[in-house]
Amino acid sequence: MRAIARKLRAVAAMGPVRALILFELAHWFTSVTGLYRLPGTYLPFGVALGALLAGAALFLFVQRLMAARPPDSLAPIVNHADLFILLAIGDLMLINILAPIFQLAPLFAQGPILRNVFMLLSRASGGVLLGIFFTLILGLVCALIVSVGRWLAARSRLLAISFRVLDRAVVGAILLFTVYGVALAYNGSLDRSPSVEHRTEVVRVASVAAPWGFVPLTWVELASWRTPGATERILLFPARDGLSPGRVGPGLPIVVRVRSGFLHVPWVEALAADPDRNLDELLRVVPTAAVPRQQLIRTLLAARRWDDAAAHTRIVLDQYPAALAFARSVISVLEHAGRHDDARALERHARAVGRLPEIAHVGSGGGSADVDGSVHEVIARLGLGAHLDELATRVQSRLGTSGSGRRHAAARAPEATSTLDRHAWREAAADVVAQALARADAGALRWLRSPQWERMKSLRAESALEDRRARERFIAALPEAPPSQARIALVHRLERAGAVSALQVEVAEAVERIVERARGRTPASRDRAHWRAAVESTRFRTATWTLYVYRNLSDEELLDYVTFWETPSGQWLVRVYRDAILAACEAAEARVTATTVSARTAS
Amino acid sequence: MPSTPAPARRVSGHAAGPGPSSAAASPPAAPTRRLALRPVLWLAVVLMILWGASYRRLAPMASELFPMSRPGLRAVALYLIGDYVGAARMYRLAAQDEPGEYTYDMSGGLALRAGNLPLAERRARTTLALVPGAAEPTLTLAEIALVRGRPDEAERHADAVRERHPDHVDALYLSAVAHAYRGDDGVAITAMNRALRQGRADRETMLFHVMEVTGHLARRPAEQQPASLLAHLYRYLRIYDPANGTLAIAHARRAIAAGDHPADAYLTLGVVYDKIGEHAESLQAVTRAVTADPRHAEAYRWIAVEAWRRGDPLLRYRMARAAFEAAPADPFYLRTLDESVLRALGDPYTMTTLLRRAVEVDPRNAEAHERLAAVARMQGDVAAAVAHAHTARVLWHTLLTESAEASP
Repeated sequence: MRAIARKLRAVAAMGPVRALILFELAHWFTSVTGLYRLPGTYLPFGVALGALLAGAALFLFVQRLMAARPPDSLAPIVNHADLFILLAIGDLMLINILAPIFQLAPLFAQGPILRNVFMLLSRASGGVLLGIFFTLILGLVCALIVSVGRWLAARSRLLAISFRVLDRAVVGAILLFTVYGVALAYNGSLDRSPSVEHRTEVVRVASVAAPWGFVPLTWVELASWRTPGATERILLFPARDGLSPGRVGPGLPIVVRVRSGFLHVPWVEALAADPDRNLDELLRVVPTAAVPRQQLIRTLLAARRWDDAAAHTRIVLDQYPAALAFARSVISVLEHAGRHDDARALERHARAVGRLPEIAHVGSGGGSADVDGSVHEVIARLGLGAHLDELATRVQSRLGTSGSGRRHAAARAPEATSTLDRHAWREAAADVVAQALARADAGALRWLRSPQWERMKSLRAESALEDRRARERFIAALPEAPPSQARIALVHRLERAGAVSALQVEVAEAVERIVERARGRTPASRDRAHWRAAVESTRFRTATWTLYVYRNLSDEELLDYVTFWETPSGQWLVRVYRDAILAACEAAEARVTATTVSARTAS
Repeated sequence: MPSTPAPARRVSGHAAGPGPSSAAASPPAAPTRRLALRPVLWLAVVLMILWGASYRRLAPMASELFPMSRPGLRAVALYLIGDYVGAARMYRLAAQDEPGEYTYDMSGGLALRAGNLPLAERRARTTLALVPGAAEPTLTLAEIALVRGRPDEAERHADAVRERHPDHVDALYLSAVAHAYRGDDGVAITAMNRALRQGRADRETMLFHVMEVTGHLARRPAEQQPASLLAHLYRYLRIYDPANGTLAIAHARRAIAAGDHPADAYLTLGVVYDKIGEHAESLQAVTRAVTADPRHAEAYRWIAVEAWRRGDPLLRYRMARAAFEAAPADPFYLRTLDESVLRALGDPYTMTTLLRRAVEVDPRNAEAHERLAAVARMQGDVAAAVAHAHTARVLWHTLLTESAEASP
């Protein structure tokens, strides 16, 4: 034990170690000064003083290091320290250049140790390297100044004495600062007094700018809450206060939370932008704004202005009868404060105006459809049933409720799963078809039963089953072997007559909406750029698909087909198909919304 | 602090050896040197400073500006010395890749990037034959025209797309570039501002077009440079390299002094200040923009953004509303209203009033109907929600089908 104690004493007696301790003391109590910051005219600059003393301690450290004789065991390193430093710098630069490779390397590395080594190396890039270089440059600049100082001191006795006095003065100042820091730490950490909020505003913002955009010190001058007409300087810590210097300007309303201090020295706990700023004016301009009124009510409750808080809560309820949860929280605060009469009055008011939010039933599919044979026939011959089944499958696969994912369905979206049954989809479509059949178009029904329609349907079905690559090869060859103008014109006429691409985009959006509702989210509203981009790429796909599917038809055969869709009978079928598909989607969306909202209300 | 070392305990100089007593007791050992400043260390300092300076210059630049190829390195070098025209050409060369198959390149954009202009043109024209009026292949034709040095043709193509898709970001940038070459500064600035509110272009090649035209305009003698337009072009390049922000500010200041589109120049000044965190200056600049042009919707929107940053909901509301009132038919500002009125203030009543105004101005405004449906649903007004949702869908359907009907 004695040997260890002797060793420790020997280490402590070393100049560099003592300088390092002084540096750490200055650094530590600088952060304490920042943590328990004092308002005032000059007191806030305690942090700057601490930083200055820490810098001076760093100087002392470098000077002691250069004057000290390193242990002989370190001779191999110290004798070639300059080369070591140069090589280390070169290595760091190399690591920095290779950082992107190191970032990827963990993906292929075996074992956690190797992976972590690569991760560490990849992080040595950029900012870290800059930090290391900054420290090294600072150290070397200190060393340069120390060398010059020693050279001067060797030639002038007066300078030598001055340097020695300065050395002692710095040590003394750091020790005094330590005492100040300890006092601040006691004043803040042992303080059990409640914090008091003061509302004031910014008079001026200032900062000490450093090179390369670093802003190490920023303070705000606030209108004093203690002395009318005076100002108070307070240091600003952007991360802690949530106020970046660029966003703070003169006139900004601020809330300062002050505590009285264990040693009765008031200190600033926090600074923040005043959330109640302009609330009265805002509510005068926008009297139906719910968020600021609720904020005002919270402030009134905190200020124990119960009557005003209750009055504003009544206004909120009158404007937003569904805001029951908020009203309940106000009632609870009033009860807690012993304002039972106010609480009961507010509760009565809430009961009088309040109601649970209604569940939106958008475009309900209606009751059971009066489905007869012809409805089934039209659905089957048009291919509506297959399309609806495909849509239900698409929705389920997006929600992870089909195939292997089905066993997790209950955990993911139970309410959605129960409402996405295929029967319900077909029922909604059948309603539309049944209504349309009340004024059926005889020509359309004849077409559905015609061999020509059956042939076209089989062409489509065959193409869907063919190898995808064959279609891709066909499309890839189009620029070199473009189709005839006549064929392209037919493709355009078919697109116009059937509005195929538009329907595809609308259905894709409808599916997206159902999925979003099932996930309990509100579907994002789309802008026209989105729709136009979607329809453009869909039109390209539809055009190439049409060219491919009907590639073996003659122009005359295709013309016959296109001509039918342009007739009133063809248009009747297009309308029925579109309305049926979209009605089925809307009904599915309404069912999913209703079930999701019910589940949420119940929970 | 440097102090004179005590000679009894410390020996100065790095050649100092052990004391005389130890020398008598043991054979002389190789002395341990003290730490001292040697020439190698100065080399290290110079290396570190150079590295630090390079890091500060290069680190904020976007990865798009560092293609990993020989022309890529030349492009970076040209860019760093300020030769934007040469750099743009080199970047274009460095971006060349396989054109892929037509199946995956309906617009011809990949072929264009690959530098195969005939193939790109063939693909674009094939797609245009299949989908007449399609935006993407038309824009490829515009880009091809720009590369071939035919800005008037590029302008025609880009403006054709803009007519059908007023907010197509690539069409707006291409149109701005083409008009800039032709000296239509006002049109180019309007297109740039409309594009910049959506951020960067979708097409990677757009950066090179903007860089090239910026280089061309900046080569002119100072008095012939279109300062305001250059400020806007540098503002776009700032997205990729913050160093261009300084140039944008300098040109905007020159434009303001010369009275060259001062409202737009103030707006650019405000936006660049915002990006570098100088929010007080930013607010001041955009406020001046609306003083210079009280109908500048985008400047009002930027005041709303600055108000949001300062946590001032009242100013934010007023400015979002002013932006909407300056351009009630522009659906873009409905989003600003949505954020400022519906989300920040939680006020569906005011939102409904404003959306109804948008529908009054443009009954075909599907976005407004869609938002009205959402607001009505929030208020529990199911009937209104259904009605507006239906109207929106009908309008979207009309929008979707009208492009097909427009084909020959």
